[in-house]
Amino acid sequence: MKRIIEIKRVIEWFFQRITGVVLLIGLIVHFQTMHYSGAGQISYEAVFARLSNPYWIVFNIVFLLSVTYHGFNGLLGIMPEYVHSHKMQKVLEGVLIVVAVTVVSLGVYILTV
Amino acid sequence: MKTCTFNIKRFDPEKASTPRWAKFSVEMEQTERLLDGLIKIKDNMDGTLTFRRSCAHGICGSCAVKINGKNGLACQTLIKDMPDTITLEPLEAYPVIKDLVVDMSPFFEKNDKVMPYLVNDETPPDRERLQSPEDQHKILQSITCIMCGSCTSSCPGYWANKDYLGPSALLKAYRFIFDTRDNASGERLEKIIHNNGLWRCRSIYNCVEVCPKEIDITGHLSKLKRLAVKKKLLERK
Repeated sequence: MKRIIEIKRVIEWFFQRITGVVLLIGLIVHFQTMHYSGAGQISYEAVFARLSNPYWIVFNIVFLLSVTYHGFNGLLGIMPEYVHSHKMQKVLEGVLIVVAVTVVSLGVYILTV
Repeated sequence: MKTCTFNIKRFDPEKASTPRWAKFSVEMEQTERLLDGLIKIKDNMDGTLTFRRSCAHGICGSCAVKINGKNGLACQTLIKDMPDTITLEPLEAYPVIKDLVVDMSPFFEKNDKVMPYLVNDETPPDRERLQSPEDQHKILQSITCIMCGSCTSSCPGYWANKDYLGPSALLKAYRFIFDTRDNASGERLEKIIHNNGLWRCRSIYNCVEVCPKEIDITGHLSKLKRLAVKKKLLERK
């Protein structure tokens, strides 16, 4: 059990770093496309065209996964520093995981269906 | 000469239940240090003022206090670099014994947990165990730590959780893990990669800001994190 927790912590930190790098690239692409490429890029037709392009769908899913992982893993990390009751920590951990899974599922559903 | 106002947070558990602020006006030379001011107060104005000092030359780490909101050594801070009003408080997060003296036992207990000694069962050579300059360079900064406690006391992660090993103990672990003469780095790594160890470091850099020896503590801790990933994830058997 101790070993599993050990590995879990290592993976958590490692993925936090990896998703951080993905986020940096993803945010540059996102801002460039959505905010600095003129109004034409955010019209209904342009968005529809992007969402029909498999590369954009993959990009958006990777972006969504990275954002959600990075944000929620960060919250899970700092939560015990503010919430000291062990019971409350477990409850909040569950709530955060449920919210994260819901956000990802909803996003993937919107992007693919 | 200039007149400095020392605003000192004082606490005497035998006389009061809460700390109080005391003001002292002291004539100081620009070339004098903060510690000289404290000694002047104790010798000439109020003998009950309590603070730690030993070497007075930035080596023993005894006189670490919070100076104008930032931890540092009183013996290493020159009056010429200070404003006219100097606020002194005991180090944050450690229990206060009296005035500027704090109980450092929680700090040293954490240090003991990381096996802060060289482990090498091999027969020692006739003279010292040699190291290449490159290998020595890896631990050069970390061996300059004087264990004054400024870093751990400034760490918000430690404020939130007193069970966290803290930057100082983790830096000590680094010092031996990356020492090529040591043979217990694996065992030592196990002792720091738990919930209250390495992963509690959020790279806030407060420790680096206050370190009187200017050690890049967060950078060293990041190297430890990368080593943990390498050993536990990438080199798993």
